Amino acid sequence: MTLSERLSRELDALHRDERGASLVFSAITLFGLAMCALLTYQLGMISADRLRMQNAADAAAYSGAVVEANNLNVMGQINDGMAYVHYNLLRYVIDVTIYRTLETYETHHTRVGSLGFFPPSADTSGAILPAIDPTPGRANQYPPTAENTAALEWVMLGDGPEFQGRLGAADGIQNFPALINQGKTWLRDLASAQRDLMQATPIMVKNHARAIARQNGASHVAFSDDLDRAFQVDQGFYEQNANNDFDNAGGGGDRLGFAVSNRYADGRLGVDGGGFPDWFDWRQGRSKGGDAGYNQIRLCWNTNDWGHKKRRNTQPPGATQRGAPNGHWHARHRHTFKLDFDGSVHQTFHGNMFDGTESPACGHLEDEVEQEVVNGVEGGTFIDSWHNGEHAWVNCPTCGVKTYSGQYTEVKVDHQIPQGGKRDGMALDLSGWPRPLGMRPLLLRSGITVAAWRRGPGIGNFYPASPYGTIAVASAQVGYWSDGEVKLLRELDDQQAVYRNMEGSETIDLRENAKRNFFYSSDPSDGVFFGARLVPVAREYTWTDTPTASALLGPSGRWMRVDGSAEVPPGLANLSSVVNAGDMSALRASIWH
Amino acid sequence: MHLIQRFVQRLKELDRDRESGAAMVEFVIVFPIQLTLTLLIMQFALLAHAHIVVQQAAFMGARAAAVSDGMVDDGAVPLLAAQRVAARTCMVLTSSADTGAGAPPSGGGLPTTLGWAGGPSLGAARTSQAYGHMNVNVAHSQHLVRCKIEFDYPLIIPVANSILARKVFTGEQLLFKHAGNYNDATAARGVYCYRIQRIGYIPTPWLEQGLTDETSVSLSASGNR
Repeated sequence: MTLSERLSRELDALHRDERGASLVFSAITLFGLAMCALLTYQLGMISADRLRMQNAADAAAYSGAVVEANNLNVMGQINDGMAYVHYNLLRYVIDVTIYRTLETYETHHTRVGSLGFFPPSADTSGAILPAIDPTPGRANQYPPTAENTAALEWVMLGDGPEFQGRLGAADGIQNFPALINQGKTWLRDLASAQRDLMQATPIMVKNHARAIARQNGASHVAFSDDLDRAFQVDQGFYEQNANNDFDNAGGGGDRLGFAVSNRYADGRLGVDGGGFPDWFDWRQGRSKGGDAGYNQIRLCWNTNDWGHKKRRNTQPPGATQRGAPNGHWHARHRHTFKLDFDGSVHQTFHGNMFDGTESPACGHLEDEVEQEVVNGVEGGTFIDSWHNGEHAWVNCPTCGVKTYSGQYTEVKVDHQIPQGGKRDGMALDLSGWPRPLGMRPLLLRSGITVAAWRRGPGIGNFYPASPYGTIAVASAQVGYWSDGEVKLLRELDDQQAVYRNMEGSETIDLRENAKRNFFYSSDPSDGVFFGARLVPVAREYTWTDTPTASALLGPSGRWMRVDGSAEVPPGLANLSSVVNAGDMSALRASIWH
Repeated sequence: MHLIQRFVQRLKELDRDRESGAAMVEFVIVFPIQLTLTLLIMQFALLAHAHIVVQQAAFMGARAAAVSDGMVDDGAVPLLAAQRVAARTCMVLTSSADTGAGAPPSGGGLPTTLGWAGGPSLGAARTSQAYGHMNVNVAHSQHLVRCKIEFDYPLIIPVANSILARKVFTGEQLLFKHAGNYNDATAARGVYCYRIQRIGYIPTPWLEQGLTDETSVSLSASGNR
């Protein structure tokens, strides 16, 4: 048999052999099944990868915003701390001054107790102490009400040294300089820490977000440059001007003033925690009852006092004048005398009303009570000699500014606190002190947008991975934190910010002097407390008013490896080639998640 | 040739002839079954694919709703965002042969194109088409945002869809002849659709901790350690 014959026979047999006919079909089917399985597997992998990248971007953006929020909160706490240092310094000065003044009045009372000068009553009828009044016709005219009794006890409790016991006022006054220097040091340190934190925040945020993205499987990330541009002085922050932004009543700032006066409003005055006495109206800086009440003590946190006339503080409208101090604080008490300079009936050199001498000419005292004083239960000795020469003008106890009353029919004599006469050394000049940073409302918009990338899955050469890999983008920014919930910024202007979530909304008043003073406290009742929120990538509020893709993710989408070195993902020129958005509307049309 | 030899050869030929007929019969019996099984498996693979995509859409929808929750008080925009994102995710399940489209969810400023991943944008038409197939529901509890998606996925494998419709998925809610706005030609024919339901959850992003004290599980108490 030849080879060709054999071959022909074999082929013929093979042709007629039908075994394996269904095997061919099975092979085709199996191949299809394998393809189905691979397809399903591959789609599952792609889906898992997309979820993974989305989670990476979400976690990175959220973590970055958490860092930003924490830093803002810390900065707010530093602000709070600086205010607290200011406040405590001022409070100490004020407390010392007040108690020193009160002490003076205790002296008054002790010496002229029969006149019922002190302590006063909140009763607008002018009722004061149920003191035994030996004056004919004035005895027992003040009923021993509980109020009056309490007032009496308050002042009589210490029997003279009581105020000194509360405060050590005399020592306190001498301690002012050292205390103030120490406070300045603290303020400088706090201000330095705050500025360092501001500068470090963008780096901290990015490093944190990068680490989180790496832990979640991303190989490349890109960040928006919101924070780089926002966390700068004169961008998102500003240096508070000493005279206009921080503590000047009516000057547009007033933050410290409100921080201080709000704390006084809470009755937290007093080194012993006792607060003001009941009869003291902290708003007016004087006793209650207005002019009809006792006005001998006047705490000057009113810029209209002491000749430091400024614009009136109109916030809140119509409320009491409680502006912040302009560099220093005063306390004074006031005697009102009615003088008669008409040159007729009462024209006489009456002399010093207290000691009977004839210097200087101060007119005739018409007031009956004052007449009694002049005529003297205790003669010329019951008032300290520092009254001499202080009738027509007075000196601010802390700055020494002299107020001259002139020849008015009503002369208000402001007594400086005793001991030492003019107190030039007590001036508390706040200008030039370190100030906290102010925050602009636009800063509330800033956040971070993160693009996370990793190579897309593929099946070898058969189903190659996408050269574009898997990208996910997420944005987060700071939101308003309260009770463990974080709300999302929805509206923002110079007046207010509105935060919302599905549970409700919250409006933050950003105006100056608002009760909830913007950025001035970590206490939610006084200031803003920040948390982090994921927001839509095409968020309406970014740092710039006209966000574009490059604004959102930095120029050309600054890609970097998760270890920080610059590298664009393979196959991906830059992010702008992916996010094709020239303006906000185009951006929002292309991204929503 | 020897007679016996010829006889044996004849028997062998007969034997071969008999096998020849058997193979044909065998093929006629096996082929439809095998084809049907293959078609079923293909259909199931497509269904699995659709499930994956719809699950992804549910997650992305829940995320979009949660992330955009602050838009308005009544939650309209969160729902809108979820619808849009889910429709965009699901548009890979649509067919380019389909020209009919459902009405896209209205609302200003919502994205209509997909420009991601450098690939060609499938465009607004496909998104709208996907939206015509689906129903999106968004709800949230104190701790979770939920997005439920019902996607009517057309069963396009010819034999398998009938079998699934008549023998396997007998629940009326799960399988029906699509009569909606899929497209006119297929609607007239009637296309079997499987209603894929998938729910995506994500924690509410506005809570600092995912769970509060009331709902957190104490490991020591439950003995999970």
